[in-house]
Amino acid sequence: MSDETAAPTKDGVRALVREALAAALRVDAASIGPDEPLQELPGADSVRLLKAIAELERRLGVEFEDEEIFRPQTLEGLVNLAWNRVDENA
Amino acid sequence: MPERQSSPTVEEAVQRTNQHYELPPAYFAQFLDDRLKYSSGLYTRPDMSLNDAQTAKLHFIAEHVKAAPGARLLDIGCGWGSLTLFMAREYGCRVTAVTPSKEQAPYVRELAAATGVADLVDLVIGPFSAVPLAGKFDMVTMVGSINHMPNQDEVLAKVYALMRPDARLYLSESCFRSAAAHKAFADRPGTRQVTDDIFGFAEMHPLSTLVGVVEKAGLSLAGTIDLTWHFRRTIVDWMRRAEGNRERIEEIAPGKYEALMRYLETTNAAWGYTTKQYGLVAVRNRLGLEELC
Repeated sequence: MSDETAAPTKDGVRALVREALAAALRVDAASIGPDEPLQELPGADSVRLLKAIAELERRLGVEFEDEEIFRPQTLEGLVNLAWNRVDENA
Repeated sequence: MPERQSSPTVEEAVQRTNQHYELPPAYFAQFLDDRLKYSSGLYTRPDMSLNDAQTAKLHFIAEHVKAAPGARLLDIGCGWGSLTLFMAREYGCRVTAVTPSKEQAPYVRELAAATGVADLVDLVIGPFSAVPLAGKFDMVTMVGSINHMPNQDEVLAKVYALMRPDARLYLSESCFRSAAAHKAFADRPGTRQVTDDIFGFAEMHPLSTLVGVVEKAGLSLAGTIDLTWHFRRTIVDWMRRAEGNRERIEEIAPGKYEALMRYLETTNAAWGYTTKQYGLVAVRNRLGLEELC
């Protein structure tokens, strides 16, 4: 278990989101700009974005609402979605 | 996107589905297990191999339909015969196997002869709803076949009529997660790539629809089993095998590798979000089963 799971911080969640996106889209984590539209990232499509979400749910031990899953448009949007849920459960 | 057509006739569905299942068995051998079982395994141990998980799943089905020597099984949509041959070989069942695929039928027939169970296995070629079948059965299996049939009420009515009293049905299928997911996703490109481009014809429903079909036929629904976790794990194994056999796949079916991987990836991403995998156990008995599923 990584430190950020033990004592979640928003930066830790951001790192996880970046990692999950990079793995699902098969791109370099550092190449994802915070406000770049997710759909325009190289290799992005709804299936891969869903894989990233599933990975995030698993790593964070949370479940997002069905309606909010496809709402975030950017990495920061996804970070906020994940952080709100982690914060709620803390 | 063209408008989705209304339900095809049985003939159209068979013709379209056969395009997929008439790819050579050697193609499917590049990613499926040794028996070419094109459905979920059952991983009863964490480190289980794909072959062992499929064997465990076949035993699981056999137990749920109460397989016994000499008992008659109707296997509707037998594929490459994994369940048909297993039930004949391992349990001594007398099996009538139905497939509309002219590739699959001789393949299963030859394997039955090669493995010494030709006298226990009878192959019937054609869509289940159209072929004449004699006698009554103790067990019926429909593993991933009902989604290829547009006339489900009619199919289950025929199944019911072919079942002896106390006969059991095991039916498993990929489902939409809910009626709402069905409405939202049925016509999405990702869904249609799987149902139309890969399978030719397949129509996924929510579990509630399948329950309704079983209920309408007059069967008692003894149990439903969530197999989603196991199918996801199965497909992880299929993808691993396909990746290792990429060149061979391209030799056998040029241009199919990318579409196959895309289909497997889409399917696995959707589990639990838009789709689920269920097994249903039903019995022709007004009171259901004494033991619980």
